[in-house]
Amino acid sequence: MKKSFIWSLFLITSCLAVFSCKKDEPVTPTPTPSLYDRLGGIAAISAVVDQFIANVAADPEMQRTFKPLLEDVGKNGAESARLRLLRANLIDQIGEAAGGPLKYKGKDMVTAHKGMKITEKEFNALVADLVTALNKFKVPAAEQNDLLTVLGGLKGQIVGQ
Amino acid sequence: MANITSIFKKITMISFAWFVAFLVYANLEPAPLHTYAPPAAMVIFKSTDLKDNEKVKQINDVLEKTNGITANAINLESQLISIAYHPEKTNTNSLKDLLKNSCGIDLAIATYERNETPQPECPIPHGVFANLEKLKYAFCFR
Repeated sequence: MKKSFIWSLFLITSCLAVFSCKKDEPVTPTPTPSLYDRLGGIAAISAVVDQFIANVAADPEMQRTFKPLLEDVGKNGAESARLRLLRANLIDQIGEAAGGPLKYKGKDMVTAHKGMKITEKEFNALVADLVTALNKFKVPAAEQNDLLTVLGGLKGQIVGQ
Repeated sequence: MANITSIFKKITMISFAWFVAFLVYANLEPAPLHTYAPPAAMVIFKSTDLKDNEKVKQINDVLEKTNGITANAINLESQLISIAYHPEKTNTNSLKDLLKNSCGIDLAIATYERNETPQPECPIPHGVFANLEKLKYAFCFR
């Protein structure tokens, strides 16, 4: 009995000695999740893109710029190839800009907007439509700013082409 | 008989070679992000019955509660209602009937007149490319 008590005491003391001498390992900071993850991944991005396209389609400021798309939607309905392409490209582009896993493989912005002569007013209306979509899904201000900063960098390649 | 067997063998070999080639092509690169998103279609309605914000709210409430709708926008100024929806869950006619019955508004699919001369277009329907892309990514295992 006495022997086992001594052994238990020895064990506890050893454990205490080992753990108290344990050097503190440097705390590695948890990596900040990407904007893509903070936005909610593919499901959230596709929902925002759908809302964004819906806003654009109803916006009187956007009727000139998006006329070919709107024509195609009016003519072909659910089979609209232009809509499918725009949606796919927006999902890929926003997903990539937000640090998502895959790459945008569409045309570069200058080529895609060549001849469209998009004005600054139209660009701002487009951004407003995107902000409305983000607000509808209650995307926090920090995430909105991060996304708009990335996309705002494309303004020079879109306006006036 | 031997001739038929030989033809059958040849067809099988050629089909298999095509399948292997397609499989290699489909797996050259990973599927893009949009292939993971559920498909969506869109319809744009024009209605002269959009008179005030109360009507806009009423329509929005109906659309928000409807299964299969992914997004909607209603603009008083343009009198346009754009709706993005899952094509396997609803369709244009159902949406039109829904809004007519629930909100008492008359709708027509918005039409856009083409001012410019039509540009030359690819004679192959876009749907063919879309289906080929779907098939390609269905066989992509990356």
